[in-house]
Amino acid sequence: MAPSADNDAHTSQWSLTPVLSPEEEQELKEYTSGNINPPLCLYFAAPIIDKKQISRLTQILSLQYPLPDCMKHLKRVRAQQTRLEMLLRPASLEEKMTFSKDSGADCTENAGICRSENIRKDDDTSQVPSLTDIFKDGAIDLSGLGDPFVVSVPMRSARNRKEQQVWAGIWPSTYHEKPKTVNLEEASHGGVSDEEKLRIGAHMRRAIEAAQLNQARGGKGIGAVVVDQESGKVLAVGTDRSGEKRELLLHACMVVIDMVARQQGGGAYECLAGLENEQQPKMHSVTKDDEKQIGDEKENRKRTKESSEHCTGELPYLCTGYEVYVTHEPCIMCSMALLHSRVSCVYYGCCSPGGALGTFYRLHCHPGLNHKFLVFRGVMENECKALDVGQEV
Amino acid sequence: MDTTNIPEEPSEMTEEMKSWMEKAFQMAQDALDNGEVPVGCLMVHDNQLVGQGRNEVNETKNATRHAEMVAVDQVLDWCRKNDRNSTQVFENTVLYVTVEPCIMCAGALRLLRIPLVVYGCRNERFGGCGSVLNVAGDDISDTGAQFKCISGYNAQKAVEMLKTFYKQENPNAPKSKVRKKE
Repeated sequence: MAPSADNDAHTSQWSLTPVLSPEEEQELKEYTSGNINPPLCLYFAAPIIDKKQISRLTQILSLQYPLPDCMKHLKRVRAQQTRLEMLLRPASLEEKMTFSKDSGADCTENAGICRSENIRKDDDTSQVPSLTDIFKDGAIDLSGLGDPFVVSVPMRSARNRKEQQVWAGIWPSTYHEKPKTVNLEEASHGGVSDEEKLRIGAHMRRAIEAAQLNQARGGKGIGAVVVDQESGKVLAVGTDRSGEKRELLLHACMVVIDMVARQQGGGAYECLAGLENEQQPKMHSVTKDDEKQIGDEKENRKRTKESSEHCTGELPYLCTGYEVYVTHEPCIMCSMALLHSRVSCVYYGCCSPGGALGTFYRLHCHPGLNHKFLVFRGVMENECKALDVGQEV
Repeated sequence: MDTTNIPEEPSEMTEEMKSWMEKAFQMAQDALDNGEVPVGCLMVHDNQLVGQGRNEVNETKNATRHAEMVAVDQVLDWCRKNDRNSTQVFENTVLYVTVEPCIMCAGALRLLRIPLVVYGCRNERFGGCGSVLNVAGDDISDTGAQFKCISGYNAQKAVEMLKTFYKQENPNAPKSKVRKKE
């Protein structure tokens, strides 16, 4: 790659890309494009012709024909312009086959997705069984219900506000906003604020400088930095040492994890004992309100102390609440080490062929694991790529 | 991998392997007696014990100090003392461990090109040899070499030890958030 003209630190051209799970990736794609295709399935519904029966019908249906757990987002009753309508029960596979054959509606069970223009017309009752047939598995008092029809409803709950808007146009559904791994609105507009980017870049620069130094001494040129998210304090700066015959597994992440352990009164690798002082130059805290706080070191320190005491009142547990900046995407060993250490966020520069935070695995969002963390790639990517790497990261 | 599901003893297991596994179980018991996750392991090179370890996460406050990682460091020490090339030694070393290596350890074993791992029970939470991921067998670029596993020896005993441990509360775990809010 050609070194860009504006390689200058402060104007460097890089973009922060969240590394998402395949599901989140799809969600973000649809969110950004606005092209949301809700997965739909078919239900029987009927108009309510006697409003006095609503509460009785709702009660008896929830007892005898409860909505399946995965469909609890659906509301039983919807208000149309002229009437109220009630969901009865899902259409079975055989019943669906009959509809699609006869009406030509493009609702295949496998795809599970119908484009909105293909949603069946509510007034298409030609093939719909009678209420008695619909409730043949357990007869109920049908008074109050009109002629049944078939309706498409969203197969799962909405994951975000945009989806919820689409869902609402199909069948009224409840929506509970869940904490997101990544702010969709922010991600769809190309990432974080300039201020935050500056903060992330400054920490990555530290990792790159350490890597350059390491490389000059014959190392692989991979660097890592641990930062306490809350205080902005840099806790450890380390580099890969695996080139040494004696320290085969001391990749940069393994090094900084042990440096943090050492500060907490633990630590396993004797060879790292003296390093903190050597590699920990001036205290470097870049926080969101850096500009306000700058030059007021005392105030800053006080705040840090207070907040950490307020939050835990004890020593931190492993790397809980810490961010890790690493020049290259960590390998599977390092990625799992970071997960075991319960880091909250990893930023890396360039991808590695066997990388486990996006390239070969996406360990940080693997559904089978007990801790999840955020991962962003692309931080000062060109500068990181320029660090000539050995074989294994 | 289907083979990891079979509880009977694997046919490839030799008497020699069984006796090494028994020693690994003694290490696991030692870990349990010391309040660490009961996992024990041995590294055997040319019929010689060159490293052993048990979990040391709590005493080092380093979450990566699993039994295997501790044993690897002992092998490195052994190589230094005996003036041996560690790369070559690892390539001819068998790991015996009471529980399936986790994803991190499986990655480490790959990087060291350890050819064979003999283990007791599966590790449903973190296993890297088929339970959660198959780091041992996947074709991962730039990450050492794949390794073979023989599993199932005394699996029941290994599981019982883990259960005993997890019944106790981990004194080092953070207080639950629910409690903090109240």
